[in-house]
Amino acid sequence: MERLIELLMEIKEDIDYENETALIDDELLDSFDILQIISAIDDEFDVAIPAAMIIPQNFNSVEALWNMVQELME
Amino acid sequence: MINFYSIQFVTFLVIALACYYTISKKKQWICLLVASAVFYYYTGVTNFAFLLVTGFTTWIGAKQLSLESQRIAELRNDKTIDKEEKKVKKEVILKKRRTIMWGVLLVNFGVLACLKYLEPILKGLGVIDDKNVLGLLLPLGISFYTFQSVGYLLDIYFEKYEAEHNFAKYMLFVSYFPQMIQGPINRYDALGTQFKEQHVWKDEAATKALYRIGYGLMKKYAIANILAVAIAKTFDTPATDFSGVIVVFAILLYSAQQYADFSGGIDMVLGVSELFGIKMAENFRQPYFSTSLADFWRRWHISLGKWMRDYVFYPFALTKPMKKFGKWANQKLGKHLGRVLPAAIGNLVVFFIVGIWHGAEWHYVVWGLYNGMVIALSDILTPVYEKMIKLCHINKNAAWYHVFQIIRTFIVVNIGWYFDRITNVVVACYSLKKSIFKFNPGAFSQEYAIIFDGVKEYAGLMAIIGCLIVLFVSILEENKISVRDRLYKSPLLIRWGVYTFVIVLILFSCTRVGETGGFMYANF
Repeated sequence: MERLIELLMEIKEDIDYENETALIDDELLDSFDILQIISAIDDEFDVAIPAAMIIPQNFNSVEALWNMVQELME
Repeated sequence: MINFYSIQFVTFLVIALACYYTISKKKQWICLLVASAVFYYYTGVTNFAFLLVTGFTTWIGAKQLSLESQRIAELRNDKTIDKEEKKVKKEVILKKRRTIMWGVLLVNFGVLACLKYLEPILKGLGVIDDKNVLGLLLPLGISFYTFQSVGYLLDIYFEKYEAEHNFAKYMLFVSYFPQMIQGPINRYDALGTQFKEQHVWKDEAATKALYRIGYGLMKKYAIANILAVAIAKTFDTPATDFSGVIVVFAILLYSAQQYADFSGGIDMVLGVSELFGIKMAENFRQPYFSTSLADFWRRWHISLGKWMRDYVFYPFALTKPMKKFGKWANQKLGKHLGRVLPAAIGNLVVFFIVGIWHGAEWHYVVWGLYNGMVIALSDILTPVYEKMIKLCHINKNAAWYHVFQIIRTFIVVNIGWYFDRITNVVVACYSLKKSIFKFNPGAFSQEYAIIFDGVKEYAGLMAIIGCLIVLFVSILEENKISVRDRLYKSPLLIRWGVYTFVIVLILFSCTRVGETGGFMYANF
């Protein structure tokens, strides 16, 4: 999960990823950021996130993101 | 057709509300379905056929898709067959799902495209001329309900929620009358679920719904209808060669008219829906306070933007060729471009579609691509801006910088409006050139008199008052203050003062222009 936070910091740095739970609902991340996150996750963890999984619940917090990545890795 | 601000519509609404709140709470949705059918019936009987085709194909398609998903789940738990066989069977089901999804999409977008584009294309090719038109009329709300139904189909395809089994309940989602005039494009998981709840009449909610309708009427009558005349005189009479100053002025008026017309109409339909206790999707969030063009498109026609994001932008950007392209760009052009270029291209595709959605005319294509290009470029050039900001020691959090961003965005948006409002690309470019090189401020008063010729006395004043009210409300809303809550809680005298003022403003504005005209975003 730490590696995931590092990736996110590279994309947008001025966000408190560890504590933020409404990354999408509060519009901290926009659709361009999300595409960057998906491509970074693909490079790093070798998982392809499909369009169907791009829902706010999966992107609102680092924990949710991490759970999704793990689910896809299985 | 029932006009939204006519005595027939008010009668229809009162009867519908009376039935809705007196019948058994479990049957409220049936009341809404009947009301929607009656409303739509008055738009023309043949339109029903189109509505039913869209409703039925998306409903049956989604049902089939969800059955196929179930089969995949069953297959997963089946211990009698081996892994390889499972894989082969799953591939067959997935292929079937794709075929169903594309089939239903083709039928629905095919119908929409034929009705919208066949005539202009044939005209462009010279197959038909102005005397020999096909006479294809767009059924009311077809773009909106098609997008809405297709969104539902894709949600089921993506397995976001359960499919609706009851066709009549689904048809209510497709045909719900407040959304038929100019949207918003609702989502099934937000709207469809509300139809299943039981709704009790609440005085407070109803009063606030009426506030919203009143505010919408004020925007429509005191601003949009009055300004429409002067704007038309500037851009629809090619014989007069106006100076740049009047062109700029008319574009600014168009900014106000377009916003007042569209958001005012949306206020009215959302208010009408709130009377039934149903909250539809919001379509505007103080768009002229945006700090970038991308931000503007998150605040203007929100339901269309979200639709494009979820059903075009992400699926397109995540296709295999686009991902491959992203990887290639990452290696050859560096990390930054590798990450932003796929998004930029996806964005151009979205805005091209938004452009032609507005009409099969070149100026809409240019307008769409202009928006897409500006957003793409600003994203690509972010590192350059960051460097410039650092070099100039600009504090990004300073108030003046925020105001600067708002003004800059407003100008960028207005340049786009040239290509939206002026129907000929060459003329639009020429007007833009005039705005810079032939500004000629001295001609203002003389040309102002020409474009406002025929508009009755005090019309301009009504529009100014209307705009100031909208600005005041927008500033409060932007600061997270709910104007409706505030008004509802204020003393009787203030409340009735506001009611009287707004009603007088609307009625007086009505007498200032001859004809009322429909909504700009109807018949899309």
